[in-house]
Amino acid sequence: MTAPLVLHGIGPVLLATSLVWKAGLAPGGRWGLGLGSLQALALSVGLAGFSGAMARLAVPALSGREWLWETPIAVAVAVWALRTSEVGRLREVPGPRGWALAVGILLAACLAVSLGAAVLAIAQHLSFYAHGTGADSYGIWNLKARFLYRGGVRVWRLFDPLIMHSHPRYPLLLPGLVSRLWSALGHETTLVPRGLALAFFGLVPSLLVATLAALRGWIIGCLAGLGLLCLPFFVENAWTQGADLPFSLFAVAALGCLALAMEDPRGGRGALVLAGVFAGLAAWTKQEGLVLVLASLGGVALGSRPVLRLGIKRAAFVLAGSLPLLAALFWVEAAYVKYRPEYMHGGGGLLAEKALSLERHGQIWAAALRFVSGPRQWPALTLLALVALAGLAARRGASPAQRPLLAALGVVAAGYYAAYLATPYPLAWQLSTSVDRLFIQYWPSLVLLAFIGVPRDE
Amino acid sequence: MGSGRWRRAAYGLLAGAIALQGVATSLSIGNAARRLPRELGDGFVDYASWMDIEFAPAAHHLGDRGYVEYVSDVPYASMWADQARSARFTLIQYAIAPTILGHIPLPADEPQRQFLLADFPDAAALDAYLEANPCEVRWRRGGRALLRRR
Repeated sequence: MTAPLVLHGIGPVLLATSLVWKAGLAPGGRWGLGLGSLQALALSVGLAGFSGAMARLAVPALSGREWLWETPIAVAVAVWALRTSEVGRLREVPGPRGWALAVGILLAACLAVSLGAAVLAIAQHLSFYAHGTGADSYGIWNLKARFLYRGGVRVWRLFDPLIMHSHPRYPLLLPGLVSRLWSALGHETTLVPRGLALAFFGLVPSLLVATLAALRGWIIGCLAGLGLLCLPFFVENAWTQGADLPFSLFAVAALGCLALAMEDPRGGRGALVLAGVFAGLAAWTKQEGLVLVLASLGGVALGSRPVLRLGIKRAAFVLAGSLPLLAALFWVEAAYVKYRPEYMHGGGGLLAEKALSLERHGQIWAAALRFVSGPRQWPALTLLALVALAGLAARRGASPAQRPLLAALGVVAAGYYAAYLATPYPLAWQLSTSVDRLFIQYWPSLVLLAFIGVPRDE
Repeated sequence: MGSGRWRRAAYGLLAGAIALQGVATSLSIGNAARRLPRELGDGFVDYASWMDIEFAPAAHHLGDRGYVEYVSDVPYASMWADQARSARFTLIQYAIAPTILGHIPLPADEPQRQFLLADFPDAAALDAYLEANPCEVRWRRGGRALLRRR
């Protein structure tokens, strides 16, 4: 069992580590061991899922042997990265001293307790509800994984409109990852999707804390981690085995890379490319990821000054990172999906009618307000708003990353608003089943945005 | 200096509130998980067996053989909406698809018994499976599908 696991792991890990190394996040590189390792881990997981799904669709006869072509590519990229990477260093954040050190230790202990309790609760749910607690896990994601794993040359059935409830058009990173691990283990087991749910949950706070620790110090990093866990259903979403939490990992990784690039005095081109790769992986996780790609491009372009000279140049690096993944996504669409996008039903006239419907606008705003003022949400949201206000009030050390992140999340909000306006499904049903999940997708990124505004020494 | 002290005090309070809220939220979720009821009662075969029969040819065959009791008046849409019963959704979906949802247009080159992908290429393979893993499948009113050891 060990040998196939190593074979399946070596390509994604080597490729991810090389890309992170090249971007400057490597151990001993610009941004330190913790952040570099976590970025590489998140990237490995994403690339393994992407490659697992793509290999099974591109060459179904060789299902489960993606390492055959993956490993040589990874070795070539590793050699290139080692030969061409330059070592630079971000301005180091001094560690806390004196009373600040005591506060830091206390906060780290709080974070450890909080994460520990959350992980135990998730493990308990995953042990009792092996197939997740929402229909999406077994009706969509794990169902697709079984098609990828069992399908072989009949893998095309995965896209059969007969199983429309499984949304045949949905992207396949998560099912690709599950089926790939099943291939490595040699059999199907619910331990894989359960383990992945726990792993994705663990990676999100870890990456958020590490990113903010690199930029603002450990105290702010730990506080951000605790702020993330203030929202109960962020934790609860982990045991549904859905794709929203994995999506939130790639979203916060992409926006975190944008922030790192913006604060890098050398320009952070590698981190911009990496941001594009993470946004592309988000597009491979859920369709909403296409909005994230646009948001990353728009955020970095609009958030840079001057927009035309610097913003567009930076956006080109982000696009370069996401382009291969987007091309693969469109290839799958062209090769396998044989029906019109749901959003096109009714044509342009109906879309215009929906966009002009005051009732639909009212429904969306009402649902958003209901959500924000919900008893389980408002404490977390109030605290986050106060952090953002504290950052604004401090004024000193305003972060160059703030504007791009704000612009990116603004583009995301606009994109989701437009999607709700145009949805072909009953709007009330769509709102009631998705507002919380869409919020989870960007909750870590919102925490990142709020805390990035806080100056280093506060 | 004075305003700096106040600002630091405000930041301290905010940090304390975040730490307390973060810890309290996780602990309350952890505490609730301790009282979590198990979804499956005694007698259930593990989920892997469930999954093996979820695809329609098998379910259809099970129906023909009387293993599955179809309840034709349970509307599909209500099962979709009922999250509480959703753990049974996949099996139910596939179990009913060729029969209750017989109006679904099947591709001309896809005989109904090959509807979707199946682990059981034919009825004999399914019979062999059932022989080796004696079990009884019942789909009861209310959308509950049970697979019990005989």
